[in-house]
Amino acid sequence: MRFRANLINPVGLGKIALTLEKFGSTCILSVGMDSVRIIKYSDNDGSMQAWTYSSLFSNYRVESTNNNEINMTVVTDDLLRATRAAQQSTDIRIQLRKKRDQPILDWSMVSENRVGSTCIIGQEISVTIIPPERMRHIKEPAIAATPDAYILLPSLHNLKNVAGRLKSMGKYLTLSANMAGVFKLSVETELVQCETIYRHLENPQLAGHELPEDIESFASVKISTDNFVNFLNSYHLEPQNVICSLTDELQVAFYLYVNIDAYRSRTGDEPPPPRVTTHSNQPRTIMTCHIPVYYD
Amino acid sequence: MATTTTAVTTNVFSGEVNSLRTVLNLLKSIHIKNIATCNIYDEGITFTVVETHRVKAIAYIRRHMFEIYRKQQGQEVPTFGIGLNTLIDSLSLLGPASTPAADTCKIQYPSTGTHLVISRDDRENDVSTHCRLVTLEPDSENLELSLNDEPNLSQRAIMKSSWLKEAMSDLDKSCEKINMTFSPTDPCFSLTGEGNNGTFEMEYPEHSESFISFHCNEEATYSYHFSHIVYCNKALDQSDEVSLRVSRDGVLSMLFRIQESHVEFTMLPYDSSTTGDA
Repeated sequence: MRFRANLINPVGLGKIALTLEKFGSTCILSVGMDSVRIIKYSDNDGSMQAWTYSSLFSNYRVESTNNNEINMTVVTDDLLRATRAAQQSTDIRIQLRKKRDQPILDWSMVSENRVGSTCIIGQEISVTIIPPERMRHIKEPAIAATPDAYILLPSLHNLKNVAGRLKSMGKYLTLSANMAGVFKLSVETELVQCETIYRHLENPQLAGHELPEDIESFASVKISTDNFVNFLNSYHLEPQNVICSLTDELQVAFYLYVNIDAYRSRTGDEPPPPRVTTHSNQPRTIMTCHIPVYYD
Repeated sequence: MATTTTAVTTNVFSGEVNSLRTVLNLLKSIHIKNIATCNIYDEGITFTVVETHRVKAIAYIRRHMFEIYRKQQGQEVPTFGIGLNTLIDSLSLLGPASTPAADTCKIQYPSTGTHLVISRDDRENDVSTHCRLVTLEPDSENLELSLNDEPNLSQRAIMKSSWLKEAMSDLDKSCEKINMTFSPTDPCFSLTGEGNNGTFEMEYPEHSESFISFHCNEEATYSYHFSHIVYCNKALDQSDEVSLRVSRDGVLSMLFRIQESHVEFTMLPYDSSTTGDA
């Protein structure tokens, strides 16, 4: 089992870790031939999942008997702290090693100390390898092939402020959207019914999906207010677009399109990455978040 | 026969406040209990809270604070109760506005015994928020206490809130009782706090000229529960002036001027048989 890579985007990794930390204390780092996934997974329905596909590394080498894929559980806070140190450094090399029979991720990086001379800093993060049999059960929830509504959300930061205020009003909130650009947050208790309505939002085009006959009709799900507020911490990633996909009463998923490359610091001779827009140049990081839905 | 159709509002009351922030601050300053009683008059709206039958707080949201005020003239609107926690949460939900001019809020009471509706429509940002609050029976706790028509006031004074704030902050928090002494001779006003940790005394300010207005016929000392005086802190913080009135029976009224509106606290004198708390 071998894993070795250069971390070229420590700030990007840090922001992912910062977001996932709100969802739980550990996460899964899944490195394979084609992609790196950082997953916050939970067996029970009570919490959230986030699946991130990203290009944060270069000089990447993975070898394992499991189809050259290695999956490990890591304490998210450890990852966060390591990336903080790495942000001030260059030539960050990560390697999976064994230390006294325990697997660790060994980080080595070149840094400048206070006096101005360079030195090499090392860090170690304990990891737990996830055996393939267990990883087989860790799957992204299936999304209904044709959700009832999908919409581009308004600013996550703005939503976070509103959702934060809704927390004191109720434990659950209802998310609704239609294909006519309307998104709603509502809370209903014995004492009050509140609704915040966003209009003139964009409904993206989903290939092969026909618009429903009545585009004004709403698809709604009931979710925990806390879970929604935690999810909205992903505003740290400054996603370019966030799509909310709803299947009435059954499911909600959020797709965050993040230009993680924007966090890479450049050396003088590297060209800046192309500007990413919604319609051209796929951003390299997509985080999918699933929030459990409650049924009445 | 030609008839003109006019849009008739069937609401018992419908209005729009100019400054949500001011209304929110007024309500927070009387938030000593969850249930408040709401009265809608021709001149404005009041929210009243009565605690332990001994302290009453009223927030006055006068008509001039409204951009729109639609109520049938002379028609009495029955008093109703409302949850202050929920009302404050709902007003807060409308969120800060992008500009002070946009800090409006619609209030509607469609019909007696139904909901109170709070809403804001932000056309510029394409967001609108509404809250429908359940209305309740008016609070059974009542305190028919007002010094407004009292002809025989023992003491009257109007002072800068900052002075009273400073005097209050000097008092030890463990006090149980506050004594207010008014005198026609200097020092004309002094506060004493009494508690388990002893007695603390402040004479502040020294001369009656320091007050905006001061009337005192004879020296007298009145005592109040420290906890009741502390209820006024939020109102005191926001106000620039406070008017103190004491009746011959020792009932104290403190009227805090907050921007263009008022909050009034009325309280019965200290009663050693109660601790002052509910």
